Amino acid sequence: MKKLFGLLVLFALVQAGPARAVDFSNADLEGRWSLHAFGAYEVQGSFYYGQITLDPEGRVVGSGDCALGWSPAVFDGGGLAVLNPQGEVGGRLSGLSHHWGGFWIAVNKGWLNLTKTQITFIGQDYRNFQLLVTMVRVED
Amino acid sequence: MGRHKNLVLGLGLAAWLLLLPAAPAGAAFEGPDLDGNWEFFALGYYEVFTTYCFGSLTVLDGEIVAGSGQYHSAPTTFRGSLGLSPGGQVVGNIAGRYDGGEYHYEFVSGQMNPRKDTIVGSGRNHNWWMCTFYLVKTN
Repeated sequence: MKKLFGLLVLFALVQAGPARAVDFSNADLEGRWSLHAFGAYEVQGSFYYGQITLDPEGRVVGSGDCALGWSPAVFDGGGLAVLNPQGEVGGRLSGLSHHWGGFWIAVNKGWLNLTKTQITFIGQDYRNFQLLVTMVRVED
Repeated sequence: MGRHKNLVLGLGLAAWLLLLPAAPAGAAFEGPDLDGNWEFFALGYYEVFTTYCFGSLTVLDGEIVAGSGQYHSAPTTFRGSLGLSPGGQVVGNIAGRYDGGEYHYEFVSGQMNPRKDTIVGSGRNHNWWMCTFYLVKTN
């Protein structure tokens, strides 16, 4: 009985102890995200926004209520990938704007947060706009 | 019999401890999640022009009931209203006065995070310049 109690105390301490290392994988990207990108190139500023859905491999499989600037748009290709267990994120998202045609945003440097509910990256789009992109998980 | 009972209790406790960290965040959103104090940040561009604004504001029942900060280089107070959908989407506007002028920022798209302590959004100012917004809850 004493051994069992000791094991339980040890287990409880492990559970309640300092934050454990978080391992990241592509599966952490699955789900619906609210994307907000803002940046500029020379004298022009622009934003992207909308909801995109990623599958367990990080591929874009859907989007809604999206825009590039003031033009409605869809994200319909590309995706993100978790590059290492520390949560670094890479990849490229692509889509189609009603007014501007095809577009893409590539990740220069990005990370998932520790709760796996936010992705933040510096990116560059097809026009050389430098963008700060924040993606917040939308829970269903 | 006593030993068996203790073993069952111990295993039950261990199972509960195992399940505890995996409990869902439970992020169903409702209006009162907006209530409280927030730090607000806005940045926008149009051609060679920049607009920016930051400060503290208090929301109660969807209305900005208090707030002060800085609009460009001028001191400002805030007013306006915000709304929240069950999915966490944020709408509304944050407005203010400065040095005899008025301005406002309006959400076109916004999202509260599952922890309900950050809002990220895209929108426009009163001149339709494209803007990005961040709100961070302070209590």
